[in-house]
Amino acid sequence: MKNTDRLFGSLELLVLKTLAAGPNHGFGITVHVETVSKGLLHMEEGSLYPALHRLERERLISGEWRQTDNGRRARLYTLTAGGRKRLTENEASWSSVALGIERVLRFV
Amino acid sequence: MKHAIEWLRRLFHRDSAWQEEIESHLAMRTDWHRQQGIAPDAARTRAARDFGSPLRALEAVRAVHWAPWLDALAQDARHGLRVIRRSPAFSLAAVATLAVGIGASTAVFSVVDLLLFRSLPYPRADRLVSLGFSGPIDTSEFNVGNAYLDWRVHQHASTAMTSMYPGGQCDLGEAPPLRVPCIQVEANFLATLGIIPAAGRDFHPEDDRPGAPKVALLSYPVWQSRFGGDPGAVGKTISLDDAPVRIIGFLPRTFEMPQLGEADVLLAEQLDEGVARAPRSTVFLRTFARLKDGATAETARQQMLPLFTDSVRRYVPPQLQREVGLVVRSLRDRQIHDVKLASWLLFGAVLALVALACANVANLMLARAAARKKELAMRAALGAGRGRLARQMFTESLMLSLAGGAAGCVFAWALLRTVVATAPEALPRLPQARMDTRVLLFAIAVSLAAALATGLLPAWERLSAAALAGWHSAGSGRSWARPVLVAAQVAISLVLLTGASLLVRSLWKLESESLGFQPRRVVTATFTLNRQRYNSVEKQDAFYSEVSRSSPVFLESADLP
Repeated sequence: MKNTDRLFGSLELLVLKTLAAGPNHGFGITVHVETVSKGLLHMEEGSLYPALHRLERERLISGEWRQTDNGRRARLYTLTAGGRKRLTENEASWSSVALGIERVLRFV
Repeated sequence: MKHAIEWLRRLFHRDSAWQEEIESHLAMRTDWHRQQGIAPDAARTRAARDFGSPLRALEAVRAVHWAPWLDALAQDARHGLRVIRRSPAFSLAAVATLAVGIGASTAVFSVVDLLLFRSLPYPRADRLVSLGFSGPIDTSEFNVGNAYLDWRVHQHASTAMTSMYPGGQCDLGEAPPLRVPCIQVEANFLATLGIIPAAGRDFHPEDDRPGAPKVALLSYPVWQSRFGGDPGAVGKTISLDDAPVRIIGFLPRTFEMPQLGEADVLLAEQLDEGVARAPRSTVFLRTFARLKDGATAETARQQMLPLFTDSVRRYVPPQLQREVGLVVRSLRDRQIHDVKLASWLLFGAVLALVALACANVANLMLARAAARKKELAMRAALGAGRGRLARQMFTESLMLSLAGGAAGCVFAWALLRTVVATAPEALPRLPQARMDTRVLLFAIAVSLAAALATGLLPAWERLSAAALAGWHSAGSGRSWARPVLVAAQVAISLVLLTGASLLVRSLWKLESESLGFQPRRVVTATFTLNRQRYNSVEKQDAFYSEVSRSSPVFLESADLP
């Protein structure tokens, strides 16, 4: 499934949800989404970074350079209080959109 | 300036951090592929393919950060243009005022920069000094042959000391010869200055021995005009004062004499120790030295003092001993000695003029405040922050200042050309003055300073009055800024006017000063006589009497040797 970011802002939602589980870097986020969706969702890596920077500018997440476990330097992102709030809102609206689409598709 | 550099550094640092983030992602993806059992090279290729174009990703990241900023800038600029167009008379007055201030200061900077700030065309020019006796005979320091011969051997203040004869001319070529400035320099002269000939070789110590065959280095302009810049001209023989002289090299294009004199031909000095040491010898020299690292002109002077005192005791006639002193000063000070103060004064005066123009425009902007208070209060009420409003007003004054700076550059260019055309010898190096990058950067810096001066004060003033008091004090609120600005303007004007009137007074006195003779209907003329045809005083006298007899315009004539 490509173009995840164009689908109702789902890229933002996936990033926020992943970071809700704990601080992570860009690469970690792509791996997390792929693993948890059991390969159904594949993130477009090139468009992940502009999205991360946009979220950081909106102060929904905050980034910091850290050393990873296997010795590489990476920028770790943490969810802020504002991000947590936005996540709750987006989860709710996503569910209602998904439910709405589901109903339209089921209509015979 | 320091802040601006720091800001730029952080900007680039931020950009490289974004790149590093993308690279770190690629590295981790490569590791991940390798853990799946893929060969290193293939793993890297796959990681790159997974990611897509890193450049495009970086562009997108940049856009995220720059877009809001650029939007706000464009918005401010559009609004600023509207405001400027709404009051064309005001804008024109502000731009014209700033153009005069910035133009005058830029023109003056282009001249004094060469004198005061720009480095001289020698490697490590700050190490070069001019040294010698100060005395009633000459305005610049000079040396006498005896003393120089002692100093050259016994001094420890510098790594190299060199000398030249002050002035000199010779006849270059035959039929008809050309009289050109022809300077005799010591063999180590160019080496001490750090100059390497553009073609051929420097003088050797053998060339400098009295009686050695005459050899010459020619200037770049002579090389170009007489030999078309051909390096093959080295080794040719030219005629100097009707004697054959071999060319050993040509000077580089940027070469200039350390005392700023002209020199088309450099000859070896061939200082004859016997002649220089003779009683009542009249060998006068200019001497220069390259200081040791860590030494200054002042420490070098202290070190030279014992040698100098010794020379005075030995070689200076007793009645003159009290009148001579030792001078060691930087080459720059030697070159601009009597115009150093004048340059600083001139520069200070035009900076005062810029300050005056800024105060004037700031005052104009404050005066316009009444009309705009309502607009600002309205915008503040609609939620524009103080910083946003201040930036808006700063953008306006920035646009006015940059327009003033652009007009000022045109004005400066015209001013510079006029001054150089009318008085090319008013200051040393004046004909070299150009509107180059350095000068344009100065103009931009002055424009930015003017924008700060004219924008920030009114912004601060108006915002405290308008945004806080709002609608109700839309009339003229009492403020401290305008009286202060007016006082500053009056003060600066007074200083400039006093300076200018003193200058005019001195000029007038100079014009009306009695010269001790009747200058009316007296003209002076100089004749350059061929040294071979007029090789004796009798022949020269005959020429002058012939001139005065045969010309009907002269009532009487007198000549000086």
